[in-house]
Amino acid sequence: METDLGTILVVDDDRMSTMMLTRVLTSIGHSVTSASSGKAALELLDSKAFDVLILDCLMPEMDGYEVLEIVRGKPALKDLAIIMVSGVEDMASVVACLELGARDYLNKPFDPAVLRARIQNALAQKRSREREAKLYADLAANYEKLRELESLRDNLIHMIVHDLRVPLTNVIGGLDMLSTIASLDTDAKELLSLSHRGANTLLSLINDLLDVKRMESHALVFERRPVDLADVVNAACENVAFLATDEGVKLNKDAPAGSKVMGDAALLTRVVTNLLGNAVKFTPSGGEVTVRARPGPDGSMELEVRDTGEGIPEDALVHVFERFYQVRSKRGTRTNASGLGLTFCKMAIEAHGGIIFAESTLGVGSSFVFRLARA
Amino acid sequence: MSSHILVIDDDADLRVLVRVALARLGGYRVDTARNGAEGIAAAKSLRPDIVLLDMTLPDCEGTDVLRSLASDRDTKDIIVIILSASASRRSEPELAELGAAGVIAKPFNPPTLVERVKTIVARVRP
Ligand SMILES: Nc1ncnc2c1ncn2[C@@H]1O[C@H](COP(=O)(O)OP(=O)(O)O)[C@@H](O)[C@H]1O
Repeated sequence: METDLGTILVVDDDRMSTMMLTRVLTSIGHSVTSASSGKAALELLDSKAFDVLILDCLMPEMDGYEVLEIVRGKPALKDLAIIMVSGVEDMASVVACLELGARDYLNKPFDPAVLRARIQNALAQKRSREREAKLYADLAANYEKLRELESLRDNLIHMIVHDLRVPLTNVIGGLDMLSTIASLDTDAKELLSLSHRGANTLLSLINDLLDVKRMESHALVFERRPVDLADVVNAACENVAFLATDEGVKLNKDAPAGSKVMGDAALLTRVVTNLLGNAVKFTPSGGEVTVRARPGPDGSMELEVRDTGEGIPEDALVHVFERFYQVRSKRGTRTNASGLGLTFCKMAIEAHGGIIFAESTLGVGSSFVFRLARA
Repeated sequence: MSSHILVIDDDADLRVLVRVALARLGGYRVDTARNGAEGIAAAKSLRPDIVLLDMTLPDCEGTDVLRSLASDRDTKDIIVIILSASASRRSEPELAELGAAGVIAKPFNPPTLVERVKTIVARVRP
């Protein structure tokens, strides 16, 4: 093993003892300083850096225990490795010193081989503590950097979203005004309406992003009062009725009045609208989408949206609630999608203290279920 | 004179945009189809001079349409131009090999599209 040539301070009132230690340690290659009293040792420790302190327990005036107490009280010296020295007859004070944070002890008279091994051991421990401290400091610094980056990113998203919304609203307003001009021909009207659709898609993507951000920062305020899921289902069905007719999908609802939960009617309506919208989007013409409210387990109310659509592959199912996640589909590029709809649903239901989950069989259909506490 | 274009793309809004641009800015006569099957049938019956073909179609790959047009006696002389999203995996030489006269990257703005179509047509039919 390679010798670690650390610096050592030897403290003993017995000059024979300090001389003997100094000789042995210097011959190995250590740089050694000696002091004959606790007071002198403390002064040296304040003025110079040492790796190891070899400290005699029994000294007049200030004994080893007292020196140890003072050293332990100095944060700058917390990495100093301390080895106590005592005669075999004084093991009680050694134990007290070990309890106070000394690393090791040596019995007089010294055996040079043991001395060398103990010193190396103490140095190795000290080095590993130093490495640990450095690693920890690096880690803490990196974590801090990460948090700064994260908050920068969040601010950036916030800024972009807000800065996008205003001009986009102007674009939509301008298009709205243009379309009121009577003299437009068919081409112009079609161009206007496709621009309008594009701008609105963009706006709803931005709004989705904003909602998820608000949820994440708990800035979305919502009510907690009894809500009838029947009303929620009716409102949500109205929202997607046009889409369903357009896509040739039959919409069934089975939500008896009085299916009450605690929550925010508007937020829950958006969740159900989202689930129904997905179900309709992913169900081919001729298929069916069914929304059902009924009592669930453990005093909950359960709402299910079931479709006869393309289904979700098993490996994708666990990811659908994640941010920006979209299943790769053969239908290729879908325009009106952000991968945030289900993220919003999950956050909203969880903010209500409920749970949401999905089941699906490829080619047969999917089912999205949430459960909330009954009111 | 190459003046009749068939656009095959599943995005309804994009069909409108491309149709109006080609007609108004380029003076072309334009027809459209929503998927591969419709596109191939329209190409055979309408005999356009040019086909603008989207690579991602709901019922088949754009390359399937490309092959089908190139192998049919009635349609093999049509100038086929590919509309392709940057994410498309096929390289331009690969598409040329299959019979494409050129590739126009999506998204494009309408005047550029018309210019690109003109350039490609002038290159293959000088
Ligand atoms: N009812 C459903 N049937 C099949 N796939 C679905 C259904 N609902 C959601 N998905 C899949 O989950 C993905 C994530 O959905 P969502 O978070 O609502 O985002 P978006 O619909 O905006 O892409 C969708 O891209 C889709 O692939």
